[in-house]
Amino acid sequence: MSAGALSLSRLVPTPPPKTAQQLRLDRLVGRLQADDLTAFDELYRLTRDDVARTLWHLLGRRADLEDLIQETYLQLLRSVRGFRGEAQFRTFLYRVCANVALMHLRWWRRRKEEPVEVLPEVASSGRDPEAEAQARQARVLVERALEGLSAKKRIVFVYHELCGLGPEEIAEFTGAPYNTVRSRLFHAREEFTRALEALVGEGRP
Amino acid sequence: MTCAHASKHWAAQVRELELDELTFLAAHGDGCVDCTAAAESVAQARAVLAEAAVPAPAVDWARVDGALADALAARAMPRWWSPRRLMTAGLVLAAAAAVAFVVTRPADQAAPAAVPAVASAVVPAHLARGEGVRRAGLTLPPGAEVAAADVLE
Repeated sequence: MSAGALSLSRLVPTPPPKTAQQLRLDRLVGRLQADDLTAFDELYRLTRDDVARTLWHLLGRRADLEDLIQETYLQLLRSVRGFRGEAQFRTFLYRVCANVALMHLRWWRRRKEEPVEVLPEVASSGRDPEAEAQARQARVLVERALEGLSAKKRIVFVYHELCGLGPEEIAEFTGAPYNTVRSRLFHAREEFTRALEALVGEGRP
Repeated sequence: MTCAHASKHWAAQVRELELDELTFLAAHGDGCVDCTAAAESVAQARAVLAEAAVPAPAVDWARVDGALADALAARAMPRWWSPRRLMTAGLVLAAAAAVAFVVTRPADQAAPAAVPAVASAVVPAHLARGEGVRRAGLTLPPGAEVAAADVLE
């Protein structure tokens, strides 16, 4: 190996080793790509909570969550052959979620419906009713503050602030350049903060 | 909000800024009304976001499971109209039609095709037309004059 190749290999960061869960998902995806539909059931059980939570954050009350989860997995089935295993499967799944959410957000915007105060229920967290009510109120505020964001900004904001993904990962699955993701995140934060400030101001006596 | 540093407070609160920027912002923020207000707004927004995070949305999984099971069953079932099957059936039908045409073709329709070879071998080109042929005392099958002429031209 030449000295140039050695120095280059030092510059390129090696990806962290895959966890047991990731390896398991990779094996299931491999079977699914080979038309073994029995792998789908296990893949679905392992990932469905993550998909539901992500779609909930991306779309909030707009969506019939069950329909969108179904649509996400049907799209996954159609597109799973395109997964080459270079990225994590989770990233690929988030891309499918983002596509489904983007289509739904655009469709929703065309309908131009009035905001609704009622959000879909969440599973009981076992907290006391007062804390639960406060959390519900917070969700309504967040949902209304997110209303004003464009679909692309909303996706970046939600994946970063609510799902905990880094800009690199978001750039990878949205196909947008890293700097575009950073820029969208910056503007989304500004718009979200202003919107929330206004909403909290409305609620004050 | 007019201070140019007011937009940096979200990044500052989640430690995305470099240390020197953080230090500057902390020192600057104390005396800046815009920055103080911006820092409070960001803190409020982040607190509401944290409160709103959903551990697990309530989903009617039985409904999703049922719909996906139906979709999978439909996918697993061989479809008579799949593109590959349609193409194969089309090719088989075309081949069968071609064979049927050749087998059932009337014998008199085959003659003109065979004539040019005979005509070109036996009849010179200038004689293979109209009166010249008849004057030479040659007899050609019906329709062969035209076919031979076409080939020889």
